[in-house]
Amino acid sequence: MLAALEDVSFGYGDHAVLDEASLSLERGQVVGLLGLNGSGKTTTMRLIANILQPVKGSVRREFRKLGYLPEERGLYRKMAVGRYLEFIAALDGLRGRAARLDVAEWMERFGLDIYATSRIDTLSKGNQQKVQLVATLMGHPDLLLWDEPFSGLDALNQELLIEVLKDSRKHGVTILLSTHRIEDLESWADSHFMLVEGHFYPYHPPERPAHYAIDTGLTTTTVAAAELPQAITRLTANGQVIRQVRAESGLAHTFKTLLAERTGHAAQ
Amino acid sequence: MLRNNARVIALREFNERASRPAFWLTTLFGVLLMIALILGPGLIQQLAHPTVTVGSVGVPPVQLERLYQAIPHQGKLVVQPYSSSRLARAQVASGHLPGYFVRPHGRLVFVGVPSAAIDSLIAQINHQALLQRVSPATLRQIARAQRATQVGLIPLSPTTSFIVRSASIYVLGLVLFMVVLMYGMLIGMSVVEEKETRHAETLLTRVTADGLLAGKVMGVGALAFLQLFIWGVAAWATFVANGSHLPLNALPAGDVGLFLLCAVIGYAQYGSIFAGLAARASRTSEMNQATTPVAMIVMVGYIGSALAASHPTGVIAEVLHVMAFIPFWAPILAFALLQLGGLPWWQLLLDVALQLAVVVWIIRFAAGIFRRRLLDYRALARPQRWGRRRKASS
Repeated sequence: MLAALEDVSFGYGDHAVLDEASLSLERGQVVGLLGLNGSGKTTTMRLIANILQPVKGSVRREFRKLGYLPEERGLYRKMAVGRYLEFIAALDGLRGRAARLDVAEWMERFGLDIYATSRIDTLSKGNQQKVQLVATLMGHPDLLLWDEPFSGLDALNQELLIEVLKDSRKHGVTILLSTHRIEDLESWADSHFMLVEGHFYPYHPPERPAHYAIDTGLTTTTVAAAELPQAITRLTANGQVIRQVRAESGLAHTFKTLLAERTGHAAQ
Repeated sequence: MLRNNARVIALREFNERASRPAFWLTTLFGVLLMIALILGPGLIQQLAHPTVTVGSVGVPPVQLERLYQAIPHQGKLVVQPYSSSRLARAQVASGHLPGYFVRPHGRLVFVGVPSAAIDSLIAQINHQALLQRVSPATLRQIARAQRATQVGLIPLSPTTSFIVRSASIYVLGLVLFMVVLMYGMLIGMSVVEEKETRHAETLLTRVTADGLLAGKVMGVGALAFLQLFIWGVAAWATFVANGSHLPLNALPAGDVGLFLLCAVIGYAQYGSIFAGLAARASRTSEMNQATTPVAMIVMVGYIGSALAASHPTGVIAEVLHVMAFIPFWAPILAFALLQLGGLPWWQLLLDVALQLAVVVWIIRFAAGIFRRRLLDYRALARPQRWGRRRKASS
């Protein structure tokens, strides 16, 4: 175990976000955190990062070094990229040549070396995101908390980030991340948790899609996998044109089921 | 796991701000202002009174002109010699001459209506005469009497050291006021900016909140004292270049040390209180409102320091002694009490330790606020209400 929330409760004002919730992060794992907007994914990361303190319960932190990427872009905008990263390296205890080498290595990998002397506020949104990502990787962390790491990145840089993520896992780094790229998450995350009504639920993506969405441009119909051929026949017989048929991850269905269960329990 | 890292934060604050052109432009503006403040009055006086003409009856004009040249920022003096007082008086009566110098029975007298420039000349003559009149033997006698008795000799006119001390108390008040208005705000803005941009979230995984705030106070402080040092050097250089004498040796080394200590402690206290106020604020505009009360606290200290010179004994002096231990007033009053003989060394040591402890406490307190208000959640979490809500729904 590298970090764990044990029966943690936390809320803002009258709004409870986590309600005696528990979550454990094991060494060398990539864990996907899923949840609706405002369900508490960012709060979970802030609790693990020791930015927030739980109202009830405890947070165990066994990690040596943390790399935290907040959802919002917080950078010293007037600083040059290279100097900013050297400052972050200095905070991690790296000095002089060691710091410069570490910074140069990561900047090159993320294609930021050409912006080393550019001020951060002159960079594009995607490049600012890369600066923040590099900052999390400085000083060899053993736990990475990435809140929406793909935000603002183009397809090429998203692929680069997945590569970095896989490399980090190879080196025993634990990564907890929240993302909307659920399809990708399924292919490289070791485990997933859904955050619903203040509790974490393990989520196992189905091997085969249980549902499909049929998009006609005017309407989108969700049908069970077994009923897909009949549904297509029915729609095309009526003269409609089908634009796209896509497999559903089953996430929305799971969310709806969990929500119904939770509110059902509460109503009883 | 978390480091204090205040040194790294301080270094960044200093380097980043010192590398901005705005800092050097402000510094340059300050230097020019300093030069203008020192040279300006003299230049204006010179332009306003380029030449002064006086008469003299039996007084060598060269002597008067030499004395007049010794006065800084004066124009030219033209001395018109007259063979008799009657002739000189006629010139004054007709309005051609403001007056004339005459020497009846060995005493120098000015007949006429003296202008500001002639007043300066008379003061210079008096000063020279005083210096010449007190013989070294008399001075030695005074020194012996001072050593032999318990009775202090109070000079009737202010001594040079008194004037220098008063000036240094005034400068300290000015320094602290500038700290409040300029650098305190700079610290405050910097702290609020961290909160507004949420950059603090990234930093707080690497540095403790008190390390972050202490680093900011130290970094901006180093910058502040660098700027003040440059302005001080500019002022001194202008004085020297202008031919004025600065009697800095009239201030003992101990007093200079105390001045610097009080300036640093004063800055640290006011700087950390700004860090605390900023930790509470959620927007930079909220910081502006915080300046006025802090500036008023400095003003009270400054007024107290002014009272020290005029009330050497009595209730006010007692009150000032007590106030010299109260945080925020202590830095300026502990120094101002030099006018009343200063504090005993052990009291001074106690005061310094107390004030430094207050700085540490403020930083820690501010760090607590900073952490709690980082995400600007106005209301604290109330788990009992969640329970109540669950019960109500069940």
